[in-house]
Amino acid sequence: MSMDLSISRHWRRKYSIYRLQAARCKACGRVHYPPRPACPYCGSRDLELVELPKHGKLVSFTKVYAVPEGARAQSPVYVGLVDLGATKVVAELTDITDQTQPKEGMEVEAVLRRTRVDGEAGLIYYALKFRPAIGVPDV
Amino acid sequence: MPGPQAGIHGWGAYIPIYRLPLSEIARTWGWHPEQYKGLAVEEKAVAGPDEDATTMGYEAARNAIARAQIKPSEIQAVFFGTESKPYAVKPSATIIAEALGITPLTMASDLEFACRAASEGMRALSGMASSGLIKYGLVIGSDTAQANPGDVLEFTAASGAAAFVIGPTSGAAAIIEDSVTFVTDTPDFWRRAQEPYPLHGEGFTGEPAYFYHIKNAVKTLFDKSGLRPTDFKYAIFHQPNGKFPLKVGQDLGFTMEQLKDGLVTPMIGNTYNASALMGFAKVLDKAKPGDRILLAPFGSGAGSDAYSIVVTDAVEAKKPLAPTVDQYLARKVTIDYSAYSKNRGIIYVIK
Amino acid sequence: MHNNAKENPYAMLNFTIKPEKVSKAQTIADPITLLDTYPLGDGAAALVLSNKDASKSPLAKLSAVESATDIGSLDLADDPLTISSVADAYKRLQGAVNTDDIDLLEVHDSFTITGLLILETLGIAPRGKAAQMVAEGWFSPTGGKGPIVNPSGGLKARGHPIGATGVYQVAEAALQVAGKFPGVQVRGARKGLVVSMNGLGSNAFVSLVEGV
Repeated sequence: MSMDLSISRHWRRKYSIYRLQAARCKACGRVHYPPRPACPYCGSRDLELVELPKHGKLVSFTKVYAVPEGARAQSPVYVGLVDLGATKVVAELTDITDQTQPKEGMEVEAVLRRTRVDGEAGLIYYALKFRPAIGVPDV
Repeated sequence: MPGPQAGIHGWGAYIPIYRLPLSEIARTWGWHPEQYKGLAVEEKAVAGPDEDATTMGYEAARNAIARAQIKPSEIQAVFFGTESKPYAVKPSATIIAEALGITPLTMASDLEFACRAASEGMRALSGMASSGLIKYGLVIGSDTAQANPGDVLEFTAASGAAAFVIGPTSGAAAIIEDSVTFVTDTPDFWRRAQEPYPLHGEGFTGEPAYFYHIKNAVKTLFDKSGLRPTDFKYAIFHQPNGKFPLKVGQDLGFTMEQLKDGLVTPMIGNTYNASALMGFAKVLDKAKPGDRILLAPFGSGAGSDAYSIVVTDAVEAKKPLAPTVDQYLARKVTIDYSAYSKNRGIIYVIK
Repeated sequence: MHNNAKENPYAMLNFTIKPEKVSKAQTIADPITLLDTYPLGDGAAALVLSNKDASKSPLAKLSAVESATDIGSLDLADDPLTISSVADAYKRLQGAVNTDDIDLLEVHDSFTITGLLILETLGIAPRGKAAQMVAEGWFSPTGGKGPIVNPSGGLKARGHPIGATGVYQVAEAALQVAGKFPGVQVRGARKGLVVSMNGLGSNAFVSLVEGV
């Protein structure tokens, strides 16, 4: 492995990365993403897995120029804070062009994209990213 | 006499946002400015730097499943047709199936037959669904078509995806009432295992490959079913450029009126496995109950399928459930040759 | 805060900067530029601690150390503009010792925004006002308004050797209240407040250092 990527870590987290799987605390009712062993709000370990909606509103965003190795082709990388109702998530934004600049409050939707590629021979890492919404439905 | 029938429950397409004007390619490689005019394509769709056949197929499939109005876990087979596999070994079908919640109780594989691999998947699924082996199957055609920079193929090799949920006839938006397949060993176009770009056998590309196989598939369907061109509201063919589908259609007795709605290559280039299937998705976006559609994808190597498909009442309720092909066609941002080169990995980066 | 580093012999970036220089520096993650971020570097700091009766000539008194934890996550925080761990730790400190009349602070300004949010979280600046107050000369050794913040230059100028940073901050505050800091010495300093944290504040330590 030439980069700081872990095949097993990505695999363990695939339901969060591919489908926005989160956890809802049965004690306090709050939802957090990605799922942790205990509720970050009240500490309860009585949690249930839930899938977050793939549509939300962009709360804030930044444009990262100092990108990690393997991501130069995607630079600048836009990272957004997205409000999905039940909770907020920090995720990459995609399909951002001069004509489609992100704006606070913008409707966004999650779609599968490449996030990192481990050189020529290594694994391709896919993840959900958010882009300006065009109405692709949840399934 | 028609064979066992299956239904199309959902359809979906995906076109990346980026478009490269063909004039950029001509300018970069010193082609005569009129060189590409005969292709009847002005710009081509180009996948973004974080896209590949898998990610595009995912989005088309999501649209198709939404229109099918079924749970992803009801799908029991995922066939992914592409000639731009992100991995030589590791199925894209499982990545898409996992990301859409279809796993684990499903068949999943990537099919290869140049541009008609997905169509082979569609025909296989209709057999599997009509036999009762599976209830629903998902077929995806998706390509980030490769062409050697400077090769004439570069003018049309484009990116896009289309997907369909195939199942029983009841509740379907359209019924596959009959189909045939016609294949031979023809050296019109190939890509060796370790090569990044395909080659074409110049003398074989048009008449002995595209026209010969499509015409034979369609004529066989006509003979078998007793149908004639006038029985169809729409006819959709594989679209390597803007001209071939019109020529083959007219040779077979179809009119411009029947052909025009299924064309996508003039707007976005040839999306290979998604080419005819995206045209079909575009027609389903506007078809009315009772309309009969002829669909004839083609793949080099070579072969063609011909389907007769009849639209049902269920189509109307499904149309608004996902973005239409026209919506994707309208969503576009023009890029230059350097952005295209970066997006498609044409620039070789020394590690 | 950064400019104080010019006098600090231990500082990594011991030069002064102007607002234009910061805004024109290379953008790292818009709007944060290179000069809004801490320089990565090595460093070591040490404190000799003792029971109050054991030392005959102590440098300073570590009156109280309090800590708190929080989610430390931008997406899970209800209010990402308040650093809850810092607020909680400071509240505990206020319950333990008298924090009136603070002369100086050493705060964890890993980024410009982090330093400002700490000042607002502590209530030293009203919410949303810290940047403007700093621009007006508050918290500077020459401005004459408010306690002096980061006479060392802070993390962005002194440097941020990660694990050593918190110890640097306490050592700097101790030297200040002892009147022995080799850089910008806050005249007559008696009370120094140190705010250390990690990342986005999943963990914070707040300490009061007093002269003896």
